[in-house]
Order: sequence, then structure tokens, then C-alpha cells
Amino acid sequence: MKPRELFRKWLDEEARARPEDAEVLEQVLRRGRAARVPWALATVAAAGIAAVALVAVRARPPPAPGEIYLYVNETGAPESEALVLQVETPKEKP
Amino acid sequence: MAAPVQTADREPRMLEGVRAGEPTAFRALFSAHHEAVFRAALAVTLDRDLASDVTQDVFIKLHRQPPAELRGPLRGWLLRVTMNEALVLRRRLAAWGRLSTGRRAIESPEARLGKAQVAAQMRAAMAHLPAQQRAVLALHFDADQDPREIAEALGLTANHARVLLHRALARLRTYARERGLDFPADEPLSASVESPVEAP
Repeated sequence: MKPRELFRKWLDEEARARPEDAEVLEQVLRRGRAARVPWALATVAAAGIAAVALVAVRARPPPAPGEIYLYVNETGAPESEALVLQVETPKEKP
Repeated sequence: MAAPVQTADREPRMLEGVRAGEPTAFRALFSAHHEAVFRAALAVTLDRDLASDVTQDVFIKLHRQPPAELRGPLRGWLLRVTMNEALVLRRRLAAWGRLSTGRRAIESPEARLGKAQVAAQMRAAMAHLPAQQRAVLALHFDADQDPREIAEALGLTANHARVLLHRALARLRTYARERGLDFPADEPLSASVESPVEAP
């Protein structure tokens, strides 16, 4: 018997009691699907948070003349109050 | 043990199906390669439960992160992942002191049966080899890979793979001779194995 044959004969004997293919496949598919759920939830949660934040920013009411609003730009620094005081309501067309 | 020709030809398209989440494509690849992956994992771990765990991990990896492109047959990629998973698992268990030596099979009732005696002796011999040498033997003798493919699967140079194969066989022969066991010491090996260049 050649070494290759001896090795395979040994491995055939060792692998004789391996788990059923169908059983292993089901576990693989179940574990594969389960790993996707947390990622999907995290993606949905992140998208939801981003949407809420966007709506909150856009829902900021426009300044009315005479009212002092303190706005901040992207860097968080407050913008000049003078800009707010210069906001005028649109004139009605004749 | 080679994958069926029909499956090998259709593998690129089946892999596309796996990436697209088609269950039939994945099932087909699983059926074609499951046994080979399990046998390779078993040869390294010497434990059916660990081999089963490694096999699951390999196919879960195929399911979640199929290779973007294949430079050769999918079997090569699967065996590469299998060897990596099996060797890492063994190192981890050895570090935790929970590694099975594989010597239980010698004392099991099966060892007394004639048809399992060779297997029990071989198992004991294999348990005396380092895991990496077992991996090389499995890839060469069971998966029919040449030293270049073995090197790619294990992240080695081709010459290093030849050296490991040569050493593994020499070690098996020494083990068998010391115990008066029957190991085919006089069978010729392939030329690529017989003439490795030993590292200084």
C-alpha cells in the first residue's frame, strides 16, 4: 500500500462518522442569515437617526423681522446677529 | 478527491449566484466541496467536532464573503480558508491548554477491531506530527495538490512546502519503525517531493 492510499484509508475511517450534509448545511445557512440581521438593523437605525437629524435641522423656523435668532454655521461658531436682523419678509406682488 | 467536472466548469457562475444570495447556487457548491473541506479539517484537527466547526466556519465565510475573483478552482480557495481556520483553531486551543492529543483512539474499543486498527495506528502517528505537517499531508495525499498549490494554501514558498512534506513523511516512517508498525517506507514518492532544498 502506498503512503497516499494509507493516508486516505485512515482519513476515510476518521471521516466515516461525519455529520449529515443536510444538517451542516442548515446550520451554515442559519448562522449566515443570523449575522446579516444585526447589520441590517444597524443600517436601518443609522438611516433613521440621520433622517430625524435632517428633518430637525430643516424644521428650523425662519427668523421674523425684529426677532433675534442666533444661528450657528457648520463649525458650530455663532453667526452674526446682524445678519438675522436684516432678514426681511418677502414683499407681496401687486 | 476532485470536484465534479460539471461543477468546476460552472463555478464562476455559481459564485455569482452566491454573491446574489441565490440559495440553490450555495447549496450546489456546498454539496460539491463539503466532504473535501471536512476531510482536510479533520486531518489537521484530529477531532471530528473541531473539524465540523471548522467546516461550518469555512462555508459561512463563503456564504457571507464569497471571493471577489478566483485565480483557480474554488476548491483551492476553500482549502486555503480551511487550513487557515484549522491551524488557527488548534493554536488557540493549545494556548488555552484544551487541545486533544488524539491518543484516545488508541484505547477506544474500535482500535481492537481489525478494520479500524490501521486507522488507530495512523491516527496516533499523525498526532505526533505538527499541525502544519498534517495540513501538508492532507493537501498532498487527499486533495491531490502539488507543492505549489500547497504553498499557496498555507502561505508558504513552494520549497518550504516540499521540505515540510518530506519531513512529515520521514517523521511518520521513524514513528512506525520505532513501534514496529507497518508503514510503506520503500514506496517511491514523486520527484517534486524527493528533492526538496532544505533551508539553511
